[in-house]
Amino acid sequence: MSPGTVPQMLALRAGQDPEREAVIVEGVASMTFGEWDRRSDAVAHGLLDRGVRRGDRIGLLFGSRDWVDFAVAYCAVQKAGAVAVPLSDRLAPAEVRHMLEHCSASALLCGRDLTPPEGDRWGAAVADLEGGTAGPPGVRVEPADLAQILYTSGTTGLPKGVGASHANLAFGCETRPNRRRFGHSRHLLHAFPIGTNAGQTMLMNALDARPAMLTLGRFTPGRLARLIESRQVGTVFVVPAMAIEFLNAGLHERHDMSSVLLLGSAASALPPAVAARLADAFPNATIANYYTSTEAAPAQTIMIFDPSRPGALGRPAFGGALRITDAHGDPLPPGETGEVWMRSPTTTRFYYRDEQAGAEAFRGGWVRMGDIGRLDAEGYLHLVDRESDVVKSGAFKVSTLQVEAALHEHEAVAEAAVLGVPHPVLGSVLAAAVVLRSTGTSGGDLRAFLMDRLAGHELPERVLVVDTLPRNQSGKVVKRELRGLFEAAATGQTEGT
Amino acid sequence: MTDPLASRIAGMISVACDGRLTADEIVGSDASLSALGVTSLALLRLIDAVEDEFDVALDLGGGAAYLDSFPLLVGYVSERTS
Repeated sequence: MSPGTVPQMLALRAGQDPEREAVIVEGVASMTFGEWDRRSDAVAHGLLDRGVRRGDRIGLLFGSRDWVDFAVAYCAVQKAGAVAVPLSDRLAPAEVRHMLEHCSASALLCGRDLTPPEGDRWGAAVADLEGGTAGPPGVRVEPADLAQILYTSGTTGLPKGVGASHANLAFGCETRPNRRRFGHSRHLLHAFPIGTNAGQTMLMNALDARPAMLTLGRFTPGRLARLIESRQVGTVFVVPAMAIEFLNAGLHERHDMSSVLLLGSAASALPPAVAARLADAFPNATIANYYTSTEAAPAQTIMIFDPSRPGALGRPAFGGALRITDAHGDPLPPGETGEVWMRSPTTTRFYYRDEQAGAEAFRGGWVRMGDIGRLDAEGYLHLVDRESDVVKSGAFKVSTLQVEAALHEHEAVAEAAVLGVPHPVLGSVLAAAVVLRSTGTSGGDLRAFLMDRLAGHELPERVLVVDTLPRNQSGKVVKRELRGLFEAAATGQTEGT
Repeated sequence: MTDPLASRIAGMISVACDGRLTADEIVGSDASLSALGVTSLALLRLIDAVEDEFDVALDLGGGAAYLDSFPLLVGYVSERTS
């Protein structure tokens, strides 16, 4: 029988493959399944000894160098019956504080070199909680229990906490040793950050797929290429931005990429021209594009790149479903453009402590993706656009409203409008137009101010100081005209940097 | 008088930013690279470029204080190449 909870997945795998490497951070640390199980048992005891109880939310703030400790902490929290709240070290302190307060986290476990933000909770490093009692902590964990909350940018400004049960996370787990996923590989290499849905998906892969999950303390295209060559990596997952950087640097011409049999792209749509270049650069690889969202997972579409359908994102996989609707939620026929909805093949996720936003996004087992698209006659999904106010930049969704709100906190800012402008690698980047109360504040000053409030990927790459914002009769900023301002500035003089 | 290493690194940052910042703007700055407008994408290009050219790894744990300003970055590379 398939395991119904994440701790059961780990216990089962540790029994099957105790000495096998499960997680490797190249040059930093590695861990076998046996160690993962034992260490997370010990940390779970440490959590229980400090008073953590079933259903408590525990923040997990880790950078990519600390994937091993993060994996231990994640399973330990769940073994204690509590809820894991993974947080990226890329977040600004104010964002971490908001997330911890929003879910009333009772504790925060931190990776090395990270300082917990002040607040009404205790903090500890993973090592602080080890060394006590060994063996399973004996807390009963049910498939319906809340297992994790992941924060993602929503359309209403503040990040949304997306809750997932154990049943949702363990769905589709493949436990039969001869049927494990990615069976052609010894290593599955990725560079997704902790705290993202793609990162969590990789952690689930580490638990049940054949290859060891391999990652880098800090991703760069050059390091990725060297690692693929030295470890003869069979499976690689990237975001399109990484793939484009990799190709532009010509790294496949200097390193042997023949070991790669599967190159998966996730977290944002892979431009067809890039997929075609990847197929050339990785001669033995199948190029696959995955489309899902933090809210919709494990619902997803998977598309094996097909030059005859270059723009298609695939059809639903693993028993999920897909439909295109009009503004009222009524399904549209193939060929017509509308909202993209996906149905999860298992218990759906939900917005934690936000029923209003939840009622907008989650509809009777269906999830509104926030994308505009159409289905072709054979049921393949094609995306047309994103709904406004959320920009996809590299692997991240960014709420322009949240960036605007942070700009408005600066005393010199009278008005601010933020939008996404096209970028050849990241798809889009943030651009901000501001009206100042007085002169003397530069784009650099504003970015420095935002750094305490926003994550790096949320900082506007371009800041333009304007006299007025283009507004329509009802006073709403016309983003189309705003975009024109940035295009004019790009061809004219330098902006307020 | 301009330090050749500083000029070289400023040029590399400018390239990493697709020329959005000029080498002169960078050399004259003492703000953090992020505030200057060096994005995380530009930063990862810079890490590869510095590794390729100077064989210096730019992120060996710690708070990466050398990113707090251009002079600190030049100092960091200089210490490891001289």
